[in-house]
Amino acid sequence: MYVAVKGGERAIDNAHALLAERRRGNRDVAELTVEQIRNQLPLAVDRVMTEGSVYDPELAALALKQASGDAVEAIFLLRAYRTTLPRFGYSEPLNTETMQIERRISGTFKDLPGGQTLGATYDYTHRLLDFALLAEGETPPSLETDSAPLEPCPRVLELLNSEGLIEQSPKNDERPRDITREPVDYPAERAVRLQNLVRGDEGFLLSLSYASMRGYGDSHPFAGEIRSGQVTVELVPEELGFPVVIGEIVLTECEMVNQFHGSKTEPPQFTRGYGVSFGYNERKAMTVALMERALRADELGEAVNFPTQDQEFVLSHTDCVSANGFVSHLKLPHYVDFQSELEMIRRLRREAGKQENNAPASAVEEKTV
Amino acid sequence: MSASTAPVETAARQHWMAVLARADSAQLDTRWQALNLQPEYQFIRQPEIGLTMLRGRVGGSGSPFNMGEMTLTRCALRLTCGTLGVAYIAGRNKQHALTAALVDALLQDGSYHDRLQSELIEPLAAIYKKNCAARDAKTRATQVQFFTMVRGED
Amino acid sequence: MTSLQTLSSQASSLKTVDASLLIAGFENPVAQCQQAFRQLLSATSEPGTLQTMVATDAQPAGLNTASWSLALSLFDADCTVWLSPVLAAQPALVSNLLFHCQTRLVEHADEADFALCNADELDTLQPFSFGSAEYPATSTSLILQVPALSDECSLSAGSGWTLTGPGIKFSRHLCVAGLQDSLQQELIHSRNRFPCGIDCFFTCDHTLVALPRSTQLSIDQPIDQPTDQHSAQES
Repeated sequence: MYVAVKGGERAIDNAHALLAERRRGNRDVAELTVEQIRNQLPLAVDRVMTEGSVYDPELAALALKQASGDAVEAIFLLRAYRTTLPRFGYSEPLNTETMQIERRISGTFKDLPGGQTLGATYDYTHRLLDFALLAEGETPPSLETDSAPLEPCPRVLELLNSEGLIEQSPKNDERPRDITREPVDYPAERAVRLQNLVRGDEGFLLSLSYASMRGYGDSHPFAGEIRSGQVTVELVPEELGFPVVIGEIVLTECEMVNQFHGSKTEPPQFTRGYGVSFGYNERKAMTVALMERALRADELGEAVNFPTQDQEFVLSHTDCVSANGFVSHLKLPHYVDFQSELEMIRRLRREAGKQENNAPASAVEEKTV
Repeated sequence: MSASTAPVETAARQHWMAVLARADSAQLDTRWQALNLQPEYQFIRQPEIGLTMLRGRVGGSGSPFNMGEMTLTRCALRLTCGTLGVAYIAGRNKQHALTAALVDALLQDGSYHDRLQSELIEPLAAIYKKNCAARDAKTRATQVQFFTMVRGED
Repeated sequence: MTSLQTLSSQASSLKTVDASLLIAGFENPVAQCQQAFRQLLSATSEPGTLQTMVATDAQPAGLNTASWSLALSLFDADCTVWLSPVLAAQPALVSNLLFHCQTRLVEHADEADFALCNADELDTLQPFSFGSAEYPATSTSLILQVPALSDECSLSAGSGWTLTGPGIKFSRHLCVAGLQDSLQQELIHSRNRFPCGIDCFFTCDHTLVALPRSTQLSIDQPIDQPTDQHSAQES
């Protein structure tokens, strides 16, 4: 139960002013621009775009600045802004096979058409703090380039497909349900699960993926392919009737390969889990792929023994805006709620005290709190 | 297509619309200003900012799913001769969408086509290509060249 | 649910756009859509009152000003629209709906979130969706273009109604010209199906009147009834 409480207006105004001052920090230090955040904290920007579910690096950078770098608050801001914009239809399904590759690796095949391309990665860094970055001034790294054209990079898992050793992704052109327009019903179809996971909280999905590999699930996959790069976005305007390019976005895509022991109708083969994220967020794409596969247990006739395989448990708790909202609501006044509980505890103790007083063996004296 | 305009080949229009969409807003504006064209037009749709839902495919090639949205600006206008120009541009730059719609309309007009093609579309396409090649060259330098260490006697 | 339609039907709907027929939409889309929506809210919350809708310079042939304003403010890529045969045969109307609203046009009226129709074309509500007990809001909203509308019983060929129900203090008069008798009977009897039902929006020129499913209507008797004078004088 909530009651309206007045009198906080001045305090709130001043709290907002104080927040703005703290966000700005020491005024002897130059102010951070949105453009600097966008350029120099791109992975934070990518996370806000992915979970905010809006691809717009400038808006995500602005949200980060406004939220003092708090990713969950920034995601909330972007989600809120999103609701003010009209929707101009749907893009054509993105063709990630023709992605302009900036990174492409496989954990399943060493030699593969198109090769293994590392791109800009933290993977082989030593994780030693680089005190050169602490010092002012910069020395641009000497960058080697190789102007030979990149070879086409076909999907790695298609290599297994030629032998029929991996399941095919079912393909139809049904309009996928949109969870921002229709509520989720369980069991949810694959398109709905994937949309939910892509905008889900990275930390939550990372931990669930970890759990599902450590034994609280039945999953220890291979990273069949991870690729990042520029993907062309096209849509078909009604007045033109043909697809037009509207620009490029950066995507990271991951396909996991799991073993599958077969069923009455299917021979033993590999199955897939698919994940994607905006920007260069590889960890997120991998966790989406892991959880996407874990949630297929039911569909593939595997035993659902763990929460990591339970659609309703996972999908209804992925959203950081919902989760944050529900936890944060505890900060709202619950004065009346709490008064009633306080009253009840006092009453119970009074009654318990009376019984003890009535009992001849009891010598405990109780005072009302 | 409007009656006053010669039919334009779809592939050609798709090409210039893609170049206009991919162009850097500032570079497009500079080149457009330099052309010093002031065509008269009427808005059919004022430049407006919205979202489009991006669709991906499960497994990259399977059934479609909704991935998340992106910002998009669109504009449609009609020149006094009747030609319709439209633009759909990623991001939130209304001026970019307006200029692109104007250029799209004028490119359908035989008397402006060649000049716009050579002074605007071709240079912008070249810049895009150069940027892609530069990115590719950096990427390619990070490609792993495996060699196998021979071990044992065999 | 309408979601399981094929992707291809969205790009190439029933009809295609003829670019030469496109006309300008709202000059200031955000403000004017909000204004139109506000007028729609007023119309629906006070059933039977006449609202003069925000207008564009021109509207596509086949639509009156109020219908076009409703279309521009309500229709989008996520809703389905059914057009009556006469309206569906108007290329300018179809082109501008597809262009400005990205509406998905449907062939079957029961799949439609909105139906646009002329009064003389409609003799029954049966083809439309009345919604389900679980989701009554999924019913079709009917926008019906009529030859005349009045809140006084002065139209010679009109259906004179007395309206009562939510949003009406006592009762209100409404006169809608051009409705077929069978449709009128169905409108009256369909009230029994509440919460399922069809929300109707009558449009004529710039004027909009709403008749939500919650409003009871009876055909006017010659005897004077206490009326809500204040709103009857609104125009």
